[in-house]
Amino acid sequence: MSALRSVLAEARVGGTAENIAARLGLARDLVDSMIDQGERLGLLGSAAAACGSCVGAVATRVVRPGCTGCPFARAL
Amino acid sequence: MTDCHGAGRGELPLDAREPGVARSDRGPSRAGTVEITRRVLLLGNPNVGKSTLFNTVTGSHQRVVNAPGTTVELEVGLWATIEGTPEVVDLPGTYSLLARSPDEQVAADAVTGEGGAAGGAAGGAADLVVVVVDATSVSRSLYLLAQTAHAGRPLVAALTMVDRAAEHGVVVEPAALEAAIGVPVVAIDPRTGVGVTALGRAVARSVDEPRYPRGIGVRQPADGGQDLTAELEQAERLFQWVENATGHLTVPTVMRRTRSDRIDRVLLNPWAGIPVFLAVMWALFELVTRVAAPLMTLVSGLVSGPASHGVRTALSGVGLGGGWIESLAVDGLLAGVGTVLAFVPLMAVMFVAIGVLESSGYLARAAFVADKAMRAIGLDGRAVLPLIVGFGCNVPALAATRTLPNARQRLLTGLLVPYTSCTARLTVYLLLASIFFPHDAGTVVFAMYLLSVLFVVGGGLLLRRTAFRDLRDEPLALVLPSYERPRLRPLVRSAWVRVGGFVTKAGRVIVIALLVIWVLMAVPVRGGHEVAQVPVADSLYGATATAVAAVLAPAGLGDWHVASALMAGFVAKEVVVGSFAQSYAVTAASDRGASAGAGNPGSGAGASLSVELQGTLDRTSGGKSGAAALALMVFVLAYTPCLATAAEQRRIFGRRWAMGSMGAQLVIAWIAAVLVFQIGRLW
Repeated sequence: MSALRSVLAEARVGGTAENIAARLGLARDLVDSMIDQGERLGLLGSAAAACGSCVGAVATRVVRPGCTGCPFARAL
Repeated sequence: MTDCHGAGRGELPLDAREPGVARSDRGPSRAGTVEITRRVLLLGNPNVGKSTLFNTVTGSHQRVVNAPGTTVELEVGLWATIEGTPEVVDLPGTYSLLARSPDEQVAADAVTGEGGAAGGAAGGAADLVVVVVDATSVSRSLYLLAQTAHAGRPLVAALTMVDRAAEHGVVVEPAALEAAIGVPVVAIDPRTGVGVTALGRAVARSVDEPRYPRGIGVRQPADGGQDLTAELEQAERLFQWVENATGHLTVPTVMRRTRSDRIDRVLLNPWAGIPVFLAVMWALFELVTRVAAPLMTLVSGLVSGPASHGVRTALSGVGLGGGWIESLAVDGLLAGVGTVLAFVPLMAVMFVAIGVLESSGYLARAAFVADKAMRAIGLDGRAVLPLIVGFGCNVPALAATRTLPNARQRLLTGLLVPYTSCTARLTVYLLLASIFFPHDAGTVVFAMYLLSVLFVVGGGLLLRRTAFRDLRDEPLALVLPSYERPRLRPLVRSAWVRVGGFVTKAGRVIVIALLVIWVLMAVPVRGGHEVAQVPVADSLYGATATAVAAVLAPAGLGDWHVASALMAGFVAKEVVVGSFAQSYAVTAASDRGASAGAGNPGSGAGASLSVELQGTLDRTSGGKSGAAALALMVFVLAYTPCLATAAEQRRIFGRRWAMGSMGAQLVIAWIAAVLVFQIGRLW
């Protein structure tokens, strides 16, 4: 798996940029750049953007990174 | 997508562009030969020193232009120290060519040469792209560089912040990086100019002999509109290239704490950061109101005094004195030019102040501290600067919107700025409050400022839910630059260019509009007066005011004196009080008294204007003059901004938005004034 896919996978399960960089042994700014590009491609949502509303109440299959771990955000 | 690696070394084929052939599509020169010019783009992440580099290499040979079809401003100049003086374009900062904002789109289109008009922002495809690489964030910068190479553009890398990276324990050797990526890498310090000459030499060489990074394929035109899988695969390849290129760098796992980090522990702490932020904003407000105001008065005095006298004397010398020509020259043309020149000190002070905040690194912190409050009304934290400046003067506040990185955010903020109650409007509040609410004047004036804030908040919320629904509620993600000591020369140079833009573009509109008003006031419609020798009441202007007065009747303001003063207020809110005095035929002395004696309406010469105004509003409001006065203050707060503000809005956002904004403000002001009067008359 490429570094980009690894970073995106880590982000999808709630990893922060700092944690992902440490876990994968990548430079922090490289991880920042990959997450940014993932957002631009529509593969990730902003964690902060999830704070405004509960994903559990929205019929969507996309779980925002900020909501991973929340029981209401599952099983959609 | 096609991989176009060169044989063996994996370089781009050099026939992607014909090396050394200059662009020839700029039209013939006067001599009929083809004009040979070259174009260099400056590209980089935000806050990497790109604009400072631009100012250093272009000196005074620069101008501000709007990217075609957009409100995104670009600075264009000439790289004077390079043979052939190529044109250099400072593109908006971006982290990626996959744009998320109109500004980023302009940068992306300029690099790729796509996007129709916006793609031509930099005149089509460039001869060379100088990618500014931040040594403290090399991987992030190199991804943008890789995308640029993938778009088929030859490159030079300008490495900045090497000293800052070293503070963090990151060592970036330009030669090693150059060997790794395959294009010239020159370490520079744009603020001191160190390395800029070497960069110029590298640029000159690369314009003639283009260099491309190793190992990156060129995206073919047929690749446009790729599906997500292809886009992801392409991103994977580019990130892999970045990883390979940075593999040799020494990057510690734990970054060292720097001086900026220590300062930020204080300035980003809510308990200390917010008071510091408020103090800085207060200082800025004071700068706009107290420091610039005497300079404006000085310039106005020079124009209305010695300059006017000189023109009158010159015209008398050639036998044209005393008539309408003298009036047109002095009261029309010179008054217009004087109005423009009077704003020059204010704009210069403002541009330098913004430059200091920006280059010192504090502006990013101010945006961070204010973000939560601004987000409540759907704005970016960076919008706080223009909105606060607006309470001093709306014109430099509009100029301050340039600190917002997103064109739509700039437009939204620019539409709200006229609702911030500038100090010119304060003169009207003071006059009316002291006449009609002598015991509660302070409370009434404070209420007007409160209403101003409500207009900004309400307007922001309304616009976000209507015309600006496309603005995504994204969190503020700022890379906080290191604190730096601002350098005077680039600040002054940049302010000079921007003030020049204001004088030539907004100034033209102001002068033309003032000439139109002169014509309206000079043409008699009754009384048999001569042209330019007519009392206001008998002029076309007076007749227009009489017609407008009927529209103001539901707000209890159906009188031509009031309408005339409000029409004059479109030129400048400062002249509303003077216009009242003029239309009531109060002497100049009593006019001055009205302003000076605002705190005590019954005193001195101001009394005559007080009596006249009281009588007028008593008559137009059916005895509810207090309600009518409140309605008048609300109308003054909310209606069209002054001419200079309107001209600046037109310059920055275009005619359509400026006209639409003025129309909407007139309607909103009328509705608000009618509501205030109709509700107020019940008491």
